[in-house]
Amino acid sequence: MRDNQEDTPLTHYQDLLFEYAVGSLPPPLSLAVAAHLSYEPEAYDFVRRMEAVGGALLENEDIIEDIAESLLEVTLAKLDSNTGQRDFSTTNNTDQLFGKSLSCFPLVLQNYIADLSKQTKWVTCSDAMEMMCLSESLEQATDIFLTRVKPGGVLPDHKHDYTELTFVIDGAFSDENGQYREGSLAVCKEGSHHTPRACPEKGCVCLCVMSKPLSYSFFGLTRLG
Amino acid sequence: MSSGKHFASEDTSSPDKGENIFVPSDTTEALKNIAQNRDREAFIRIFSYYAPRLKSFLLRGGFPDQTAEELVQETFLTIWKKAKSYNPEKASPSTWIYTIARNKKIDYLRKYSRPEPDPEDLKNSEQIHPIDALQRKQESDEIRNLLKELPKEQAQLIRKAFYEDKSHQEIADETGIPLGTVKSRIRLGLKKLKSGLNEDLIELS
Repeated sequence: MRDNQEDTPLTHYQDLLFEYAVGSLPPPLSLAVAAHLSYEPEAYDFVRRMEAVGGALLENEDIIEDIAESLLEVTLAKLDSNTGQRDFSTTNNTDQLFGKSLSCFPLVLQNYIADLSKQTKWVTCSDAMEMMCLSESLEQATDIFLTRVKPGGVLPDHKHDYTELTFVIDGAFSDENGQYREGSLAVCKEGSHHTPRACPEKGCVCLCVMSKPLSYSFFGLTRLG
Repeated sequence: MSSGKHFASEDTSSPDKGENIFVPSDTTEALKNIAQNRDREAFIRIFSYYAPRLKSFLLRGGFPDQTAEELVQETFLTIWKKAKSYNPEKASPSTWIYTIARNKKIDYLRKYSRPEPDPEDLKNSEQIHPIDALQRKQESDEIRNLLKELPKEQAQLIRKAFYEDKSHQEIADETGIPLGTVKSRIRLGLKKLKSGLNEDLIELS
């Protein structure tokens, strides 16, 4: 049997869902995958199924470890101590971002974006594109940002030094690998390159996440026009 | 030959000698008791069954003994608090407990709260084929059997990914197995493990 299969966009996509399910995907990438799962029932089912594999491994555990006798007692004593799990407050849905109510976003993104978009604003990168950095604590670099490309806007062919995921929040775009509508996830592996074109009618707004933070100067360097 | 006898013991409603033996399928009922009556006895039964298994699971992931126990405790405190939200149609009890423990691991290791889609916030939910609790249980049994049948080199890497939250790249770095081989083995294994799902699954991109 052939041991090595070729990497394709489909295999990358499945690897990604698997890594999300086992928990090894870096935080920013997990955010984009979680948003995508809200839109793709098949992907959601696949992740479920992978989690069920985790459940089966747990259930199959045959080396039964001794646990400290006190652990049950300590746990019982803490059951009713109100350590209060955080209640996720619902987002104020009247908040607007690019003229769209935040309630249109997948819930998993709403809380995240609502907090941050107040402190940050759209920066023009070219005639076609604007971006908004969403990483909180990184001053010189970002690994999560929004991009907004005007209808029919084309970005120049560019190479990705790190894995980048693009989740389409609104509108649509296409590149050499395919077409992406609202809820789709485009996977750009490290070293790959592409020429994205926004949908001529609606343009697109996307959440972009990187496996490694990208220096802000990068955006200056890739400025169009 | 002797056929019917074999299945008799699977009838969980019959109060036979196994009164004190807790099996995973009892967990659903126990969780319901926790949710409705804050039933501590039910909690203790779940704890007694799953805590040692969970600790073994975590130790395989390389956690020191004490950290593993802290994570076990954290997991069970969440089980107690969230018992109400457990839905047997969405996951088997073991799967639900696994996901809670996985998230605790991520909180601990990566210091961030795992982003997860809200199950009530699925945009195209009409496309999801509803699964009832019984089918969920059958799925669990099926996966356990499929796991046993996987070729060793595939099972080994899949286990490693689950136990240690390792990405394909990390597994390759650590084992010295080339990245392409790691990917292929995991993919081949997953292909078998997801065989119960729709044929056309994941033919999207």
